[in-house]
Amino acid sequence: MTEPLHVTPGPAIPEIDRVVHEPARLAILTVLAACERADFLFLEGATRLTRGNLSVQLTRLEEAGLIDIEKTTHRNRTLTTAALTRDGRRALASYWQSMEALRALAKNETVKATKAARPVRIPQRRPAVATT
Amino acid sequence: MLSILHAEALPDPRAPGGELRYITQHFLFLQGLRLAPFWAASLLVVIVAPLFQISRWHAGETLIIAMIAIAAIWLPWSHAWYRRNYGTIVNPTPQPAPLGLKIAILIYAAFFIGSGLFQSFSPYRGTLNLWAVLTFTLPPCFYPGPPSIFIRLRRALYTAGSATIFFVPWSVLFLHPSRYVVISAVSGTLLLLNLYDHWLLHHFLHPVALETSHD
Repeated sequence: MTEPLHVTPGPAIPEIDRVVHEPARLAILTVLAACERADFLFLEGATRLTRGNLSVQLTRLEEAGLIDIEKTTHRNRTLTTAALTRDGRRALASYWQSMEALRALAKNETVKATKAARPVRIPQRRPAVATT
Repeated sequence: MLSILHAEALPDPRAPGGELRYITQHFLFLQGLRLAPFWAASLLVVIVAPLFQISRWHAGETLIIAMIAIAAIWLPWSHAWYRRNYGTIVNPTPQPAPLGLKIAILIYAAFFIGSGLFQSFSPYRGTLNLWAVLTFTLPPCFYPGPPSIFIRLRRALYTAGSATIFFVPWSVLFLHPSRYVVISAVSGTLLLLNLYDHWLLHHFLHPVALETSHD
C-alpha cells in the first residue's frame, strides 16, 4: 500500500484583477491615473493601440465601471475623453498592491528553492606541508 | 508552485508604465516646439547683428519685435497643432514641489540681493538676469523618472544645460566675453533642450499601430 501524498499548503497567492491585468487596459489606466482626463488621440498615441482596439478596451473599462467616457462636440468634431473613476483608481491601486505581494512571494520562494538546491560544501583537508 | 516563478518576470509596480506616466505628467513641458522659435530668433539676431554690423540698439529692437510676433502668431498656432496631432490631457497629476525650482529661485534671489548690496555688480545685471531661465531648466534635472535611456538623457541634457546657463553669464565677470556670445550660448542651449523635448514627445506618442492585445 502506498502512502498518501501529503501536500503542504503553500502561501496564499494574491488575487489579480483580470480586467486591470490585461496590458492594453493597464496602459490606459496608467495614463488616466497620471491626469484628470485624457482624450482619445492622446490615449491612442501613448498606448500605441489601434483605434478599434482602443475603442474596445475603453468600452470594457467603462462597462467594468473603472473609467468614465465623455463625448463632447468641439468645432463640429466629436471629442472623446476618458477619466478614471473612484472605483478605477481604487482597482488600480489594489492591483499594484497584489502585484507587489506576488512579487515578494515569488522572490521568497525562489530564494528558498535556491537554498534547498545548493550543494553542501565539504571542507577539504589541507595537504600536509613537508617540513625540513 | 511559486518557486518556478521568477520575481523579475512579474511586473514591478515602479517600472511598468513609468514612461507612460512620465509622458502624461510632463506632456505640456515636452511640447518643445512652442518655445523653440523664441530661442531660434534670439540666436539668429545675435549671429546676424555682428555680421551686418547692426547696432546693439537695433538688434534689441528687432529681437523684441520678433518675440512679440512669435508670441502672437506662433504660440496659439503651435498650441492648436499639438492638440491636433498629440491630443490633450486635463490637469496632469501635480508634481511634488521640485527641488530644482527652489534651488533656481534661491540662486536668482541671492544674485538680486547681492547685486543690490554691491553696486559693482550692476553693470553685469543685464547679463546675469539670464539666470532667470534656470527656473525652467533646473526642475527637469530633479524629476524622478523611469529607468528609460531617453528620459535619463533628457535629465543629463538639462543638467548640462543648466550648468552652461549658470556658468556662461557668470563668466562675464572674469572672462568678459561679448554679450552676443553669452546670449547665443544661452539661446543655443535652450533651443537644443526644447528640440530634444519635442523629439522625446514624438518618440513616445507617435502613433505606431502596434496590436498589443485584443482581449
